[in-house]
Amino acid sequence: MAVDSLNAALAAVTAHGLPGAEVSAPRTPLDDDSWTLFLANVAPQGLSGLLAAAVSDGTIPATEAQRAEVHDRHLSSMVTVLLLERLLLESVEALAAAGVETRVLKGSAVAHLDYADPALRPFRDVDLLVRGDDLPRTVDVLRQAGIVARANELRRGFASRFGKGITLYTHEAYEIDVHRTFAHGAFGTRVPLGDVWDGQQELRLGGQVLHALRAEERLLHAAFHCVLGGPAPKAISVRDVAEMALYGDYSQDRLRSTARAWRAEAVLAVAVRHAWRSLRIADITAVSSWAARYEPTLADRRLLRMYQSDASYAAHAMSSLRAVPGVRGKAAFIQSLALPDQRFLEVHEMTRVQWLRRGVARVGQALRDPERGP
Amino acid sequence: MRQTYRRRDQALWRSIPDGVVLLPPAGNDPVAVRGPGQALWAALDEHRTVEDLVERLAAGFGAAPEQVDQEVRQLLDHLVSMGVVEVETWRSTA
Repeated sequence: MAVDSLNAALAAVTAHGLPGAEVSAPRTPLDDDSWTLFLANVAPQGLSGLLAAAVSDGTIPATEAQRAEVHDRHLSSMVTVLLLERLLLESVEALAAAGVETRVLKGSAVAHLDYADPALRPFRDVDLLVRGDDLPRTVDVLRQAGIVARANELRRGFASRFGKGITLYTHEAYEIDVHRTFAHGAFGTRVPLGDVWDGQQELRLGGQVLHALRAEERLLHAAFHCVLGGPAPKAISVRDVAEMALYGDYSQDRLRSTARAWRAEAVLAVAVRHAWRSLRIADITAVSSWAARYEPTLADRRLLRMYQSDASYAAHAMSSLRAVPGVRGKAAFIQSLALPDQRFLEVHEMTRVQWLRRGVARVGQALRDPERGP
Repeated sequence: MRQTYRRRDQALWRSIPDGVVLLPPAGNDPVAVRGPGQALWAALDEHRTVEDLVERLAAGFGAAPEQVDQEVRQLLDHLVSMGVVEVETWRSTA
């Protein structure tokens, strides 16, 4: 199967159910080799739900065997989703009992609040937002439930103050991403988190009332995922942006003012443009018109290129440093990077001198070419 | 006295093309319910009597109520035993 044909088929699945999307689906069932390659790409792109729907209604032609295979894989992904939602409910309840406020991010929140049928939106982990100050307590509470971090923090308190968050794992290897902000590097540091915590949208799940981001912030977070995750966004991230931008219950004015407050208008504009272009969406909406006209600043374009390349951790650290407010904040940030905890160094099998030498070399490289990978 | 049936809020679930997959509140093994079970689960979004459920499913499948009555009751018993459907008993008002 040619790469173009594969990409076209995946785009057709990604756009399934969007009336204004002018992507062409295959006209006949794929041959065995093409089907194998196509199916191998579906789950990593988060498309099992959309494919199941597309095959069921005939949009994507399939043989009986292919249809059965799609249904089996979709059932498997939905089983995972339900077990993750159980984990989400137990984690939020335990954290609430310890006085930790949470917001449900991505996965379950988007599935229930932004898709007509949550089965269209599978996910593979749990994502929660907590306040930076609550990160240590969050890790402690979840550790008591057997959910632990595998990697050590750079320096005690770094994640709470500067990091994007911490990843923890259950015994069954399910992942819980506990976020402090929405991206590493400058775009994450820029988010005024106090504003985020000022509001919420209810998510009723399993007899409990959870809290998610408001619609405008969910769309911005989806844009972050689409644009800031590397060179090629996951298809489901693109669909999230399209779905929310087209059908989300958000205020245009609040969306634009929030994007401005986050200094993330460039991210939103690029994400919407990418979704409209890759899914060939013909609809013209207020946000798509704005995105088409928006001109990112030179600095933001450079920053976006860094995220979309495989830029090094040092490069992102440098961009974060610029965004950290105040001299004391910047000094604390530099100190954390330059003087990690001994435990961190032991896990990475480095001496302090080796760490410093490597850091200096990578910072030098980042200064010369920020978009280059390590 | 009349009894009504309704999905438990604590039951997590997702639709699948030919049915619904359910995770009971007490249990770690999701269960797929297919065929008429999908329509029954959809109808259990509110408190409903068995008779109401039988009528709804019969209408949905273009069958007479007596043709689906036994299957609906068996499915309902199964969902109740799984812990995903709650039973409420209402005192009839005079």
